[in-house]
Amino acid sequence: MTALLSVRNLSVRLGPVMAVQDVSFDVEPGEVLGLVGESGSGKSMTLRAILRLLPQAADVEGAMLWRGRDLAALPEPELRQLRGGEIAIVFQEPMTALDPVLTVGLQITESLAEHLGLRGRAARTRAAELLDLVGIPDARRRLGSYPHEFSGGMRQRAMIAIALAAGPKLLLADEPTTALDVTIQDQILKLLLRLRAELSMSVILVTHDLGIVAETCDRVAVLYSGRVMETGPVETIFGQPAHAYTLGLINSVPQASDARQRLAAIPGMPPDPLAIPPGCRFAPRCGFVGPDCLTRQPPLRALATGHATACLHADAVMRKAA
Amino acid sequence: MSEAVAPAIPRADAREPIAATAQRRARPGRGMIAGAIIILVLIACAVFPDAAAPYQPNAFDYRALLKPPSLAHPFGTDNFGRDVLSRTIWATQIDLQIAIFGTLFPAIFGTFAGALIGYAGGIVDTLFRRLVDLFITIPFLVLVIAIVAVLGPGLLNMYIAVSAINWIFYARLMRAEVIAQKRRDYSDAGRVMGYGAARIIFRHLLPNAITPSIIYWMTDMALVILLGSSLGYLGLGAQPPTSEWGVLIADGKNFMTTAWWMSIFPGMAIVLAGIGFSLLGDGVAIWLGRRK
Amino acid sequence: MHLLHILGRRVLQILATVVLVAVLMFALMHMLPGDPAQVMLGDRGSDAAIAQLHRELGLDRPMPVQFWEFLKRIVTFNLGESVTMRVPVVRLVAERLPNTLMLTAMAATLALLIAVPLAFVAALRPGSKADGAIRAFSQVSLSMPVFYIGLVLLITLAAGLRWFPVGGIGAGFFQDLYYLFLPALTLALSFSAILLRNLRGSLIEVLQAEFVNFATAKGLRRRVVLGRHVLRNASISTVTLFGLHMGSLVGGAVITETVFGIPGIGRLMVDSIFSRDYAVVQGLTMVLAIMVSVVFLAVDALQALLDPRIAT
Repeated sequence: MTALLSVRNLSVRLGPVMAVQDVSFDVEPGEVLGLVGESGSGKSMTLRAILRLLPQAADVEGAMLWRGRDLAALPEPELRQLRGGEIAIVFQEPMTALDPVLTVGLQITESLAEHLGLRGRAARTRAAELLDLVGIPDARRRLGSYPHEFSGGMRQRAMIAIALAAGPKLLLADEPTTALDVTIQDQILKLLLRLRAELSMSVILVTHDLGIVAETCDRVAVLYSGRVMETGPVETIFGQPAHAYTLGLINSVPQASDARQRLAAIPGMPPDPLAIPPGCRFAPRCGFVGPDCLTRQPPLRALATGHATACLHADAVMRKAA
Repeated sequence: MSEAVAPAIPRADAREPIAATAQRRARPGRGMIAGAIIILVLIACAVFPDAAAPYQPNAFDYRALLKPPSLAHPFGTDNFGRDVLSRTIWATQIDLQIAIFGTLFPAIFGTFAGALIGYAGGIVDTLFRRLVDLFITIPFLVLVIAIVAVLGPGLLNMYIAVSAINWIFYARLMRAEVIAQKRRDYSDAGRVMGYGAARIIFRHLLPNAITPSIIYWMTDMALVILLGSSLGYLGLGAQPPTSEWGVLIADGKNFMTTAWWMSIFPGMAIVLAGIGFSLLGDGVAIWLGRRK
Repeated sequence: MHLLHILGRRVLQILATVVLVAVLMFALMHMLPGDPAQVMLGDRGSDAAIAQLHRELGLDRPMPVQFWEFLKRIVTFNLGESVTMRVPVVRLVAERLPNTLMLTAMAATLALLIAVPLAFVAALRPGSKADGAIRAFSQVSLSMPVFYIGLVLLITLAAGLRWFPVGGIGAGFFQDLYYLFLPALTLALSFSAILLRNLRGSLIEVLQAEFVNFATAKGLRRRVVLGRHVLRNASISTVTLFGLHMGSLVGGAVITETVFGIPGIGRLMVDSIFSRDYAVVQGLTMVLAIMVSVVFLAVDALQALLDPRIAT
């Protein structure tokens, strides 16, 4: 089955900084792919690069194949049709992403008008249906409400409703729950999963929270300092991590059984983007580092179907984890 | 297969070494330098008008009345045969004086008052804010005119009138800065250590809060020159025969059709001064902002 | 906060301001050396006239009583009488206020017509040549006193090219528009420079806002993003800016009227100062204060209308 979206060797340069380098991954129809990494790992940039939402000054290279067509080479009018049409995005902070002076209803119907040609009563009815779909009570009346009149979780639902207006096949979710309370987080994640099922939609979920990944994602791509370290199914990544960084991440998540023990953090800090070391980017902090790790960047190689790693000492890591 | 060793710093684009960036940021910008040059030229004209001006400002020449610009008189002559260029140059000292006297007292008094009000808070602060509301509602010009109306026209009265109003803006600026700084930890630390209010204000709050005031002061000088020349034009500021740019322009208003140069050239001096102070003020703001 | 609450507060502020202005004027009057009546009449006053004015103004009564009388007169719109023209100040105001209002309204409209498009062009392409030219225009305009702009326009367009009259006002509404065009343009050029500088900044901010990114990400056309999202948000800051700098507009109007010889309250003010007609000066200061306050009120109302975050 050909992938819905195929990102190949995506690189994003902003001035002297290479924010994303050589990133490749696939998204299958109907699956939830997690892009996980710390702040500054390039995950948000990768997401925005897909829809070409980066500032003019950014240099983007690589291919992004959507149903066979390269998004990087798509002319403006078709790109516009795609945005909000087949591929939609939700941002992290709904309070800033929604226009404060327009009603939520209008922000939905303008999408309906642009992509589906729906106007007037038909558009408003559909908009109310969408608000209902995302779980906002009293949908019809809420069409006339402004963003600041919603609570945080409801605002995020509204943003999702706006994104879904034209029935996208792929939803890009940029840390959709980071700005919310934990209980609301859970609701939103469940909502996303429900929508994925009901609408046969794929989702790329960007997050820094491994817990969210474990609960919602089918497959994961682990990013560090702008590069992909490991990709694979969720169970494999968590059960048998094949990259030193992935192992470190998983170990650093506190478990209830770890009570009264030191938190196992990964020592050190991610590299300064202006002074990236040669060789594997994780090498300075890696417990499995060897001399060959320092000379060149390890390429992403396949271990088994669907599981790939950029770690030269994957075997050692997998043995440690087992 | 031999493996190429990656370069030591494989940044995607090593456009500027970091040391050079730091040096570039510490240098003053072109705007600031241009502004400084303009102001220096004006100061030179103010301090050495004899050297700068080809003629005496009040030298009548009945043979050369209302002459258009020429080599002998680059700005032409007025209805008394006086050289407009010289009069413009001689007027510089008055207008710069206006810039200084109209801002110096307000700046000093206003800054201290603002610091005290900001630090004290409470009812003093509320009263101050009401006063500010009042002074925003009545246009600056109208207020100054009203006070000059009571005191009588003239430069000194104009300074008094302008100072009486202008201090508020400095006070408002300083008060805002002090209130922002008050919340920072080091002032609490000072209080805990038992420092008196005065010491906290003068030694700690003021030095940190003063930069915006200095920048405001420079742009304010341009505003005061505009105000002063407006009053001069109306006949409420500098009085003839003192040459002040506004007065010079007023001299020419009855000769619009016959001798346009009488009004146009002195006006350019005002514009030059305004641009100079603005460039300087903006430039300093950018320069200080970049060095932080 | 309820809309009525906000407007009500503003009305109270206006009243407080008017009272404060009255106090200020009263205090100024009595700060004069010598007897106010004598000062007001100056050389024109015979002893009898001074004594009469003295009685009229109640200057022999104790100060608090005087002030109370003063306030009472204000409230009943009795702003006193012009000593030079022997007519109630209120009538003078009524005759001239329309001219000033028309001048100010025309200038404000022209200023918006100049500033808004230029600000858009500058903000959409910051750092470009167009942006540089617009900022330079703004800088030069700001450095030109209003009277100078007026004289330049007069010399070039009126006296020189003879496209416009040199001053005064016309006989009817449309003639007024013609006569007031040059003065309005003068004021507009100055005011638009102030608007332009701030508007450009706030437009740049809006253009970088996350909701503009999101609107683009929804696949909306650039036209829609700018025309709906950006414009509506930017109009709020425009209205705010307008109110904030109202004082400049009114002050500029005073000068413009003087330059162009327009019979409005600005010129009346200046003339009265020269003729030592303090009653008029006092009254006009208050009228101007009220005028600006009313604009503040309108700005508040407009803001509440445009921005749903207020008054909910």
